[in-house]
Amino acid sequence: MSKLQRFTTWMKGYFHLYIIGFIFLMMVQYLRSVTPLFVQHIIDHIFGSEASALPTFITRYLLGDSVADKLLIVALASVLITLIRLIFVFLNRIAFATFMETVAYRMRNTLYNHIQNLSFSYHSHADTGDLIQRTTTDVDTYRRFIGEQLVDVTRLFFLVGFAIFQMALMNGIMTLISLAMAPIIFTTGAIYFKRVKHVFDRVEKAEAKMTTAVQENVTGSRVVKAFQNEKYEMDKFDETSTLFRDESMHLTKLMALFWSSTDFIIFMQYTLTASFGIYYTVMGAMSPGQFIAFLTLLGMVVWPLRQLGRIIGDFGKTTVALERIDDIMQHRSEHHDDPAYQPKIEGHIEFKNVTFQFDDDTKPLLKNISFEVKPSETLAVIGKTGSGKSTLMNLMVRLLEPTGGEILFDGTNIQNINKKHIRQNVGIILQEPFLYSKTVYENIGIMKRNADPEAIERAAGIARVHDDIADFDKGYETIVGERGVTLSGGQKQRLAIARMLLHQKPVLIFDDSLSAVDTETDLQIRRALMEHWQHTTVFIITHRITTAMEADKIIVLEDGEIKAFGTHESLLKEQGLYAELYKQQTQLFKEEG
Amino acid sequence: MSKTKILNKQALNEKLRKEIDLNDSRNRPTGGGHNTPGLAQPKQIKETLKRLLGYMGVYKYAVFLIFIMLFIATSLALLVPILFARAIDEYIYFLDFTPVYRIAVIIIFLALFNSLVRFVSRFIMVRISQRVVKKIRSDAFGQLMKAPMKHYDKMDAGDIVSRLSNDLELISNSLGQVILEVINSSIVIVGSLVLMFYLNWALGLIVIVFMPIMVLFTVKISKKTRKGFKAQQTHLAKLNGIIEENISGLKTVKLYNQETPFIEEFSLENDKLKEAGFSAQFYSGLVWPFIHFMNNLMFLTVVAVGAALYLRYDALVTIGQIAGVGQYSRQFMMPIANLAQLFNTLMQGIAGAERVFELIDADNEYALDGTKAIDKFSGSIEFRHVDFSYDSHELILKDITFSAKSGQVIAIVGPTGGGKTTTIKLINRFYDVQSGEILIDETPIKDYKIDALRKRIGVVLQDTHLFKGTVLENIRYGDLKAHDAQAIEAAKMANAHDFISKLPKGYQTEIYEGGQNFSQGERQLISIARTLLNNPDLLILDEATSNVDTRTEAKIQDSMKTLMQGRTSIVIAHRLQTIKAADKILVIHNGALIESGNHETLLEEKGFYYGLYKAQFEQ
Repeated sequence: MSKLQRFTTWMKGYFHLYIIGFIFLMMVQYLRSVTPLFVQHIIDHIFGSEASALPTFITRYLLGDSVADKLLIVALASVLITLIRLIFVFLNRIAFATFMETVAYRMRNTLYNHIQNLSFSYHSHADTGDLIQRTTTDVDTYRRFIGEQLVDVTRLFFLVGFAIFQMALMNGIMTLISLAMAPIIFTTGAIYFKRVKHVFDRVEKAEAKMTTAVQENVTGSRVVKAFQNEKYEMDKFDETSTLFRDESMHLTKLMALFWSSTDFIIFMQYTLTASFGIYYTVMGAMSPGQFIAFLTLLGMVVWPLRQLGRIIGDFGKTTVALERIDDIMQHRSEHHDDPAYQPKIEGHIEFKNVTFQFDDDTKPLLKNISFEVKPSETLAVIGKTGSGKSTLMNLMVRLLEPTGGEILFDGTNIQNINKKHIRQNVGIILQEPFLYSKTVYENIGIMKRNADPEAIERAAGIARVHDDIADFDKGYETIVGERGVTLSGGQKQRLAIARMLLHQKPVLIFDDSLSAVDTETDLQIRRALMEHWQHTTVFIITHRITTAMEADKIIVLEDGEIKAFGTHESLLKEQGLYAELYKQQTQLFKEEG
Repeated sequence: MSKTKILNKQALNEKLRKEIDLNDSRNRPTGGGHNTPGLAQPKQIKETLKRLLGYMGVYKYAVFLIFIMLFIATSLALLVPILFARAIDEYIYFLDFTPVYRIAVIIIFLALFNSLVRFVSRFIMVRISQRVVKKIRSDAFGQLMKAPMKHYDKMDAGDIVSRLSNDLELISNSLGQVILEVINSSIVIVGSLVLMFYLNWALGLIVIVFMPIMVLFTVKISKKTRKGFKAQQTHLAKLNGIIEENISGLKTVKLYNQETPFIEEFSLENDKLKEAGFSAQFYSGLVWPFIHFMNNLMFLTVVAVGAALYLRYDALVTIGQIAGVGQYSRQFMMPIANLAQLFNTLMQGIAGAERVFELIDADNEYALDGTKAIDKFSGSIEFRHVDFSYDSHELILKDITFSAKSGQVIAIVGPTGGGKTTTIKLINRFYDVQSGEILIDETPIKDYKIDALRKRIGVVLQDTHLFKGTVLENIRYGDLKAHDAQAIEAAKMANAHDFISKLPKGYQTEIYEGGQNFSQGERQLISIARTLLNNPDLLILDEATSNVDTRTEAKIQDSMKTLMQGRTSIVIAHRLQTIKAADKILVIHNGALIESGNHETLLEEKGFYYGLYKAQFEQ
């Protein structure tokens, strides 16, 4: 996509508003450049006998018999002009504000929508923080660019241009003299703003360092106190804090240097213009009114020039932001050409030589996995971290697609079944369940937004989390999640189980979902669940042997391969990895005899 | 983490915009709350302000100097229109241009002097506020280090970080800006008024009539803008919250087919943001044009009325006076608008200061420090009727009494949430008991100096905290004076040497924040090494329950054994092996010590321990 295309994608249908905004902007600046000419008109034309510098479409109305009448009319006219200017500003604001906010609105909506529908493999490689930044900061960068920076630059260009234009109409040589320092002012600004960015980066880094120091000390306060290293931490903090101050000071100095030196240059320009102006006025080459108008117009040229460097310097950021946004948009939605087929799922599942590997990985995560589970059977998958247990599960709900082999539900390859339909029918309880910043009620009923409170409480009871919830200040109305009460790992896991208990699913996967619950409670919950989900095909992914041994079939997974497959008894006899794990985990029990 | 980083970035960008604007009063945009993320109003304005000024006390002479300088410079600058008036009336009017040169030179020098003074005073002020803020920051952080654990429980890290960065930033902005601008603006307003009347009372009256209307309008429109920006900030924060939550919980969203409801939720909030953004943009763009308009209106009224007066009663006004008063009338709209905004900045600063001072005012646990210094404990521990509660409502521990002789191993067992962890937290005074006493070597722990007490007690918990830095630095945290060789020796003893040497950079490997790049088991091994280096006399251990693979767990068990050798140890135990080897087992359930004894005697009792044992170790 070309740069321009990328830039305008989001503006479709609103572009005319933008143009209208710019037209008003231009008119406002023109009227601004006309204002000083009223003074010239009064001094030179009414009191004197020189020609008015005002454009004819205004002078045409400035008639009057006496000086007093003329003055009154001029005064009224100039008030009228400022009023028109205000109305134009008003219209221009409406156009720009509507335009930029609508564009940003559409952008956020599209991005959010799109990100949600991106595939899981995209997300498992994407950095969450980065994605968030793209949908928020980058969108805002763009919004500011189109609504503020670009407008500012255009405004300044118009203003400077019209001011120079008015000056040139009055006196060409004086105009050149008045612009003598302009290139210096602009270049100084451009160079400065380029340099100051680096300094800002350094300040930012110093601040980040300091912030990290604080954050670490707060989260690790226990350790600091236990080792009595408070003094050390304070010294360390002081170091970062001093660095931050020094860098800020450096920045202040640089800024001070810039602002004062450009101030000085601008004053030189004023002095220059004033000296020549007085000279020309005395010599009669210029009227006093023109002289005064010149000084005012000069202000409209030199002050904006200094700002231009900053705004132009910011342009680069927008390109980067747009590229980052575009990068997201280029990835296809995972629901793009997904089949619509939605068969009834009974729970017969078969893996046939399934292999999986991420595009950019060198080694497959799963190799040649084959097994079969019949409806309402329980299958346990046991293995160490990194053995491929979770990948197995992700394949079953089509969060990932196998790179080889096939997965069959009731004899149908799942690639031919609608993704959302599969996820509707396969329930997964994650090891680290995600809770939303909503109430406990809403969190448990997240898949069934109209579930009645009683059903939710019943589910919480079965999942052994009801008592915990009842202990919260607001019970089931307590807000949990990132912006609410923090729950322990075990509480979260039990809450996730309660979530699933509101549903009957033909297939259910426990992804190490009771790992943070103590063994006793684990057992109680499992017993209750087996009863609730008698007719469900259940997968249990675990590293606890005691959890696995009750399953109808057990798969031992290591390095992405099935090392053994059988029942608890048969596997023990094999004297393989399973037996070894069993020995390690129950060793002491055996000692007992 | 990523969230705070983003926020910081945004804040910095805001700062960039603002600091640049702050230095250029001629082109200051509407301001009025770009950086106000929906802040609360301050509660104790007077006290906080006093305290803040207290911090500035050191620099009072500098501030006074600035005041004098600004006063002189601004007053001189105010004379410019009078000079203009005289130039017009006495020379230009009579077409005598020669003395005008002199006046022009004077005016230029005045302007130069004025901008020099402004520059110097602004520079000094920024320096002062940076120093003051640094001092406050140090004080707050120092106090934070001394605050009791209880205090940390109540606060979250993000909040404290934001107080020490964003809130202090607010103070620093408001300190410098407010003081300078208040001085400057007041002088300009008062001076202009006085000089206007001095020049010509009749024209002055016109301005006086106009003023209230203008002030009213300006204040009103500024308020609208502020509100718009505030609403925009609030909605943006909410929207970011939704995005963040959604992306970090994306897997769940997909698994539960919740895309559509979340998109709807988002769209709703996005809509609100659009509306708020519109009104913020719209009003903010109007403020200055409006002020300009009012200024022009006033200027022209002065000129028109002045001219009319001049033509009818020319004794009353001169042309120079019209020009002079006209100029003054243009000058003081800006300071009034500024003052209105400054008030807001000041309130933000005070609100920020309040939150920071709250940190400084936190309890100091060393206020209750003991006096007894020790080099070594022989190692007996005794709990005598200890009651404890976190919030003084509900007792978490009730009447706990037990004792351990020097060198003994005590195992604490019981269900989750029964009070095991709380019990061990009391020994090094992370929390103080409600009633009863804890004694080490027959002396109540309250009598020991806290630093000595904690130095002699080693703690290894399940969720180990490692600091950002190298592996070596983290081990040396146990004894900052230790040599590298000693640290490596400790790592060897802790069974950590093997995996550390296999790392690409060995002991110099960087540990990320929170130790995310190490497994929980590895983190625990490092923490054991750290404690070994510290060489404590007493030990508090919490055995790992989950998320550690079997091989690492064996290593941890082994190194914990090394650690416990020759030290009195209190262990929250999950392994039967540890429990069986213990000299004494304490069963804590619902905050009470319900059984104690060794493995055999407790099994014979057929009580709670027996049940626990059956459930956990015999399926």
